[in-house]
Amino acid sequence: MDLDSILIYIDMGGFSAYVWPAYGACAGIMIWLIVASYIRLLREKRMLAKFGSRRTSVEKVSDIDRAEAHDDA
Amino acid sequence: MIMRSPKTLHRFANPARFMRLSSRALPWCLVMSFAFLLAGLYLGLFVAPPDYQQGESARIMFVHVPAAWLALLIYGVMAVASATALVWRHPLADLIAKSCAPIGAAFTIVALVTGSLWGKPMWGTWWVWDARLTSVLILLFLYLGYMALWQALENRETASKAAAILAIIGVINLPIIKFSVDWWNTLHQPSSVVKLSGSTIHSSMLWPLLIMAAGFLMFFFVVLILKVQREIIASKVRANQYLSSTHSHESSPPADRDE
Amino acid sequence: MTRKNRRLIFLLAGFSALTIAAVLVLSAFEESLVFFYSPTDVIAQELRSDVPIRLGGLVEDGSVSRASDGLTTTFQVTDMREVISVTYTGLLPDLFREGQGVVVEGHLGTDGVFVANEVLAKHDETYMPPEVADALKKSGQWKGTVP
Repeated sequence: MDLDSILIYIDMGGFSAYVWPAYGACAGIMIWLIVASYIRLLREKRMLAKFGSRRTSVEKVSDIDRAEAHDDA
Repeated sequence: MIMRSPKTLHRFANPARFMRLSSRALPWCLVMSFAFLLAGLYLGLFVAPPDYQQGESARIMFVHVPAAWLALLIYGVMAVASATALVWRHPLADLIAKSCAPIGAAFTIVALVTGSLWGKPMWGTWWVWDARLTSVLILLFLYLGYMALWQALENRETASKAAAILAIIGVINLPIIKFSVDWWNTLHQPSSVVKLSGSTIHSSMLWPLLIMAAGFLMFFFVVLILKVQREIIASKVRANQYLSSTHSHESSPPADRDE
Repeated sequence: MTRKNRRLIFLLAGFSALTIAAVLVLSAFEESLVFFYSPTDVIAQELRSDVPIRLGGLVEDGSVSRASDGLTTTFQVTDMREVISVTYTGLLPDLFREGQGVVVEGHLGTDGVFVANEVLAKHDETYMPPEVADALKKSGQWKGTVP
């Protein structure tokens, strides 16, 4: 592949100003989604670990488990 | 039948079980998502031919259409989860609905932005107020409104109920979006892929589109798992905070920390 | 009746009521949800107003002509029943061509010529490679309106 054909490809038939920003915006938003979600999960895991080191932790019976048991009527 | 509390669903609604199963599924979803997205990008950007009318700008479709499909699908998932949370008080359904909203909003934005970037060279405008574009913008506001309700209401129970009701009301918008192009004169073209008379998109462009859509769907599962796991752990943290605050006889109520 | 059943019935009843309301509202506003009028609509209703209206249809084959200034274009918009002449000064979108769908915004003049201040191209739902389009045209299986 020579330089000319690469340039022709990048030009996208004159639509480069629309095609590449569309792919870029899509990639940017998707990367942000997955990275932000992962960082928040890690942060929450660290919070829980702090409680885990003290022996007051409720690892098994969380509040949502109990909420489930309440509303079974 | 439907009226009975589905015990089998309750088993899956067990957060501990969800943590276990989803942790096992996560790497698979991640790998499949990457594989499909890479294949889709390669096919869409290098293999698929240009369109006979739109030329190379038609390639925008390969990100625009899957994003728009997901925006609708995620709203459907969010509404079903909301209804389940409202009627059967499933603790997990509530967390799934809450986790769906930011993902759906993100894909709605992708659909709007990429559509706009296609509209400028093809239609000659970034935006028009036709029935399709307007109803998709309303979808974005429904997502944002749902997220705002969760943020605005202090009490978790109240926030969950209010947000669930909004999500269910918004379902009306889904058929409007889908059929807007058939019911009214719109600038947006009718559906090419999902239609009774068969798809009007050539297979050399349809396959890249479907593979891309599969990658998007897997990507949604990955982010959903990450977000639901975070919500489950956050609820455990809240329970611990409550416990330690009652142990130490502090008067402060359990902090309802979110985001 | 358990609390769950009651909640479910309330939910279904509420949702049905909402659906009916939505259908009624949408059919009431039918007129304003329409993005453009066809030439038949425009001629039948004599849509001459101060507010700009949108006219949509196909650009008639062989009707496009450019004035000597190179910017003003005149063409005819048809819905296969009525035809309206349109004049427009400005840049045309890429998809604007004879036989393709178009939506123009502007006023219908007293002489029956539509003066457009904006021209939007309307794409149809067909996607195919250029070679396939050529092959279809050669074999006479072409169903589209494009020459």
